[in-house]
Amino acid sequence: MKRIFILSFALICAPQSFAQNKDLKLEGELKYFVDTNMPGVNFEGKANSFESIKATLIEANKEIKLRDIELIISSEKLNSGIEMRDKHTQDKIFAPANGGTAPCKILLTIKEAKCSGEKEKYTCSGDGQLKIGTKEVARSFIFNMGKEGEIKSALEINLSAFGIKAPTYMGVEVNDQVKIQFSAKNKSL
Amino acid sequence: MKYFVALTFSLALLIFSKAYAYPNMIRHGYLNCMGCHYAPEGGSLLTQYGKGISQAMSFKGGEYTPSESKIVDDITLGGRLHHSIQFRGMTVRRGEPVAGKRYRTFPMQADYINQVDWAPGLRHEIILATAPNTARRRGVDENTNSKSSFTERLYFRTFKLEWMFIKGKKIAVGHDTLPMGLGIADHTAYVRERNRLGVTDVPLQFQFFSVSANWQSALSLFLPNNSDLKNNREKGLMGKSEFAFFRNFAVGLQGLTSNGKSINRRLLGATIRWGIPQFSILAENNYTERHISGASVTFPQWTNYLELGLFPKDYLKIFWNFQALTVSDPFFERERLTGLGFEAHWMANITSLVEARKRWSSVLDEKILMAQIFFNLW
Repeated sequence: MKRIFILSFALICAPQSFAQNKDLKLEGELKYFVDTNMPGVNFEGKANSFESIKATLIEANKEIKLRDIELIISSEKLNSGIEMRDKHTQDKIFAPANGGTAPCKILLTIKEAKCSGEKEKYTCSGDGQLKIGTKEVARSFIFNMGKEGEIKSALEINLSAFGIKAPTYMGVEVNDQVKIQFSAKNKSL
Repeated sequence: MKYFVALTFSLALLIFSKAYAYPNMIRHGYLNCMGCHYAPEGGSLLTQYGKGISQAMSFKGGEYTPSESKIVDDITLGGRLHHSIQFRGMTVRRGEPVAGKRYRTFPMQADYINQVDWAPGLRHEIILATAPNTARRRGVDENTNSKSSFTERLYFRTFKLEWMFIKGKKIAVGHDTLPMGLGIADHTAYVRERNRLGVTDVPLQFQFFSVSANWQSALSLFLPNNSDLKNNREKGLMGKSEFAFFRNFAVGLQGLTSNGKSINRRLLGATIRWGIPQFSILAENNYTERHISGASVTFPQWTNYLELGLFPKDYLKIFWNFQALTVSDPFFERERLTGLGFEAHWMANITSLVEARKRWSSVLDEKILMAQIFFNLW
């Protein structure tokens, strides 16, 4: 009886005894890169003022996971350095016709991402949602994680695939493919 | 107090603007000038997009709306004729009076620019310019006590036919400034003036331009301009390439070889452009070696340009620049120049620039306060 009790206790406690959950206190940056039909005319913008940015790091039995990743930012926080260009981005990309409400929320959620690799150099992947307004623009994500909580992710989306018409202005047309890059650091470490 | 008066005076005359290229626009992701100017090397006429950017980045701000008037459409041959007038005025206050005068205010430049799109990709460009006689040889700084008028000379600063046969690839033939260097507007900068890149140095050229997302090149075979002094006429070849390692950082290399009646010269240079929306760095260094024909004399020259720009607002640039000129024996010269100033882009076609300059050498110590106004009527 004593043996059974010890064995049962060990089985119940074993995984948890090695599991570590850390709520990461992240500060991050969202960047986007846009090319145009004019060679050599391209620009980038960024935002670092998030409404919500969080994730939980789970380490258990040498397995690393990121859970409950949530990133919310308002489209009006995007800044390309030229006010009028940002206004056009609001009006043309995040317009109601494109599923947005200008300003609208850009939302990234990933329930769970599994990571593999060496210590301090992981590649993680998981399914989730990247939504611009009400429109979903990406579902699966691959990103890199360095020292605990240092996350870098890059993805390319085709605007037309999600019914978003690439904006044009005075003959300069934004290319359909837009690169989005997200990076975050864990403040709590 | 007098500096203040000059400053106030320049601000009171804010009715002008320029249509030069802004090499520091790389800070906003513009590697070349193609988006805003018809010419990828910059300057000259603005495209509709360029007018929009010019308006958006001005103090006035707002949207640029092209005219939809039927009359304008008829006059511009259905939008195929583009033209503008650009004007630059200047007031100078010298540290030491020259001929009893410290101040001089004068019109510096007036151009008429004309372009017709004859067919898709095929266009001519003409810049008919006026200038004082003395501007060609001595620049503005030495000229402030001159009585010369800026209308003394009428010449074609650009007179060429261009054909863009593939997107981003263009050939051109005609008179034009050599497409070298950073393309800064100040024609008295050592990197320009001392390398025959002044406003009236416009040889006959066969040009080739190539631009891509992160690369731009220019090649020119040039022949003498008949309006040059006989001994100054030269023919040669120049090439320039600039590569953007990142969207906002580009490094360029350039070279030139030419043979003249009295002087042969070789030039090798490098440029750097880097910027983020609020800050930019421009740098150009050129090494020039001149050989005097028949005298077996060769002498090198270094010209350097460095500019740091701070942009607290889209329309406002605060800048500091440093320039150096070194010429070896037997024509030894060693001169330095530094300037601190600001440039304000008030409206789409109105810009002002105020700069305090100090230039010094072993025989010279000069302080100048300059205020320039630029106007571009399109």
